[in-house]
Amino acid sequence: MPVYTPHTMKAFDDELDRLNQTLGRMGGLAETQLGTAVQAMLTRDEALAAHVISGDDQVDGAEDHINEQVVRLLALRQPVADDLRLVMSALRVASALERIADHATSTAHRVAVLNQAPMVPAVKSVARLGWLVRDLLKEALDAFMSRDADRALKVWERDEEVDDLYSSLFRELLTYMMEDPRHIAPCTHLQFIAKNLERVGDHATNLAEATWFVVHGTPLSANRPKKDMSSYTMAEPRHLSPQDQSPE
Amino acid sequence: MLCRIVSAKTGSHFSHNALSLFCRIVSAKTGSYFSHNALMDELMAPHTNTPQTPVSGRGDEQAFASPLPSVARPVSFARVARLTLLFSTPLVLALSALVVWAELAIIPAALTLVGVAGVTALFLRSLVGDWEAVAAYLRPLPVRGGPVAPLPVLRFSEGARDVAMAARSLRQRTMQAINRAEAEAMAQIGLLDALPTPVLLINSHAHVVQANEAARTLFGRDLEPRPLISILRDPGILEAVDRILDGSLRSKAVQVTLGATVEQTFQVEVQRLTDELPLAAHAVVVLHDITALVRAEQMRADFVANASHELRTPLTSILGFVETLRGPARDDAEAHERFLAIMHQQASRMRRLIEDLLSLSRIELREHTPPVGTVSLEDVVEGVVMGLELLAEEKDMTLQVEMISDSDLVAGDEDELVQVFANLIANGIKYGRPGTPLVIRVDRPARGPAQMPHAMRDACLVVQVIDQGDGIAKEHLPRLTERFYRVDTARSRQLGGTGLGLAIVKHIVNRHRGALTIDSTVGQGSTFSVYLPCPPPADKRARSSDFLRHEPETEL
Repeated sequence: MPVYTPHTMKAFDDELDRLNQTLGRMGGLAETQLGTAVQAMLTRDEALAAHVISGDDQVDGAEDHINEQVVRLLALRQPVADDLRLVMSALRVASALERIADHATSTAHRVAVLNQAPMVPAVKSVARLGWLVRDLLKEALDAFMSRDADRALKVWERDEEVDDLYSSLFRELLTYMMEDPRHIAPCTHLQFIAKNLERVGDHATNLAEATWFVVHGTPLSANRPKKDMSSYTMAEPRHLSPQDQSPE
Repeated sequence: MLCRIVSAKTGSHFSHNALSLFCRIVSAKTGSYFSHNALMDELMAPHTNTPQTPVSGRGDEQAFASPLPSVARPVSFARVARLTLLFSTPLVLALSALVVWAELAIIPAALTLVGVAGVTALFLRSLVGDWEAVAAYLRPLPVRGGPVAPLPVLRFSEGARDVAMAARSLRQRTMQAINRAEAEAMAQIGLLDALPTPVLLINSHAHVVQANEAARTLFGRDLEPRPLISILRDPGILEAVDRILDGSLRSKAVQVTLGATVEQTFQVEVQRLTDELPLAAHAVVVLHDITALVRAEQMRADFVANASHELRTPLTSILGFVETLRGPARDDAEAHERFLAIMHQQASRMRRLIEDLLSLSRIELREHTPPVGTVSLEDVVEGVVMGLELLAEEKDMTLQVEMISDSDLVAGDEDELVQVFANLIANGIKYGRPGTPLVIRVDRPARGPAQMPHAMRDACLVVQVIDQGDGIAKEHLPRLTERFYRVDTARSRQLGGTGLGLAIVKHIVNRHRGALTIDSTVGQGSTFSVYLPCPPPADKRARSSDFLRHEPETEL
């Protein structure tokens, strides 16, 4: 005769469902924060940026809530097998989403600064990176909520796109800065924003890895394709050819 | 063993009941179950539904239970005793009477009583066993389907068998009635599938219990057993759903944008259901697709912004010159000359733009009504060419008209077609290379292009304006007919363009149910082809032949 009665199982199911719901809500919040921040940067809308900044508390609160729920589940229900994987992954997912929302907030902070300088055309390219990572985040969250490992794999493979775009954006911003010294300040802020967005892409890939782990129980291959060439990018100002440079 | 010998000797198939009854009595009396066991195994179907636990809650029913629970049922002793007492009453009365009348001695009477009562009790035990088996079988019987145990074998009581069968048929009928009611309710929900709007029914735990066809297409997968959160994550929607489900609101509408690469805007309405539908649906989520509205609004706003910008630029320039003329250059005659010329040029540009805007809006108003009347393309084209010859000469270009087609009649409005060709030929002159010819060819193609309405494709004429200019890059071609779209803004303004010419051409051609196609090779030139349907044969209206009175509307 089994030890548990149906009533206990149902409560466990309810708690798992509640964890799922909280994760979904946090995901929705993070997505919206990211999209709004990129929109605010593109349209130079400071009110929208302020909205994003004030919304960050809600995301942090959701992460705390998820941590609480996970601790309760582990202590009281002692889950095993895929339930255990789900509960452990919930921690990873919550932490990734919280970081994503933080990146969105720091992007929003820079909107006010960018508005003090005239619009640099490169903002459109940065926005393109922003929409790309937002798409990736949405795909990753969809895959996680529906426990679809194949969709997660597709997201994981698309990390290359983000790295490619970021590398070319890095070069583009360097050339803008070299063209005109008045562009240096706004372009530097754009560099930071672009770096934030690239990190969001990495977090989305982490989400995909967590989804794969929950479904299959094995980690995705350790070698994530890395095509970010920005660490190797150098730019020479054209008007300083080698012979013009002083011997020092 | 004994029973087997008996049956073998007789060689005949005893009635199942009599033989097993006999063996029961034997086993009960001797207390040995060997014969019982062997015979039971051979003759009887296995009992699969014999209850393991005693059916009545009274305690002492094990007295008559056989040691093998799978073969014989434990029967309530109290019941059997009561019934035996009941059935023995007449015998008791008869025997007492006999004793009283001294016909019978007490001891034989008592012995008779005990013997008869014992035998009666045995028979009654079998009957009561069957009745209790039926009760135990019927009690847990599920009403709405699910696995049903087979009927217990009821060997003794026909009454018990009748009750069991009756209960089974009652269950069948109840199931049918319930299924029918459910099917009706589901059919009502099935109406949702006929709606083109995605609809989701959710229960009190925010799980989707029913999604219609449109919703499945929109979200691309099976939706039924899923929590709403796995489909829709937008915080606005989730908050609305929360407040509806906890009862603080009856309904709420939220505008959200879903989708990543292809963005769609929805007006999402969440409403509480007062009567609970089947499947425990508590609220309904409806998604109205307003993408087209939002896009149209955006386009309108863009257009207003563009038009204002186009008008403001020359106006600013004119105001600047006016201020200069009133101030620093008041007495400078040469400055007067120059500035007034520029001001005139800018003002003319503004007037052209406003005329084009009005023309465009007039055309759009009439776009839905196809024109009546027949037009001679030759007349129209010749007339336009005559009017623009001077301009062509200035650029050392020649205008060559080639009439390949035999007939030149199309269904159309003369004034509008004049506008079309004036625009196209003027563009050809503006963007053509000096010294090259501009060819205007009228031909009858085998079939119109796919952009034309299907019915018009078979009988149409094409007018092609072929220039040898710099050509247009492929990525610009789809957007050329957009209002205010320019490939090279500076050049276009310098040549006096308003940005609306091709938009006007496109709308007029649409009104005529024709098509405009643009082919271009960078470095070689472009071909603008206007396909126009021929007039239907029954329509023999008079041609509008007073074309020569009108001048081309677009000034150069």
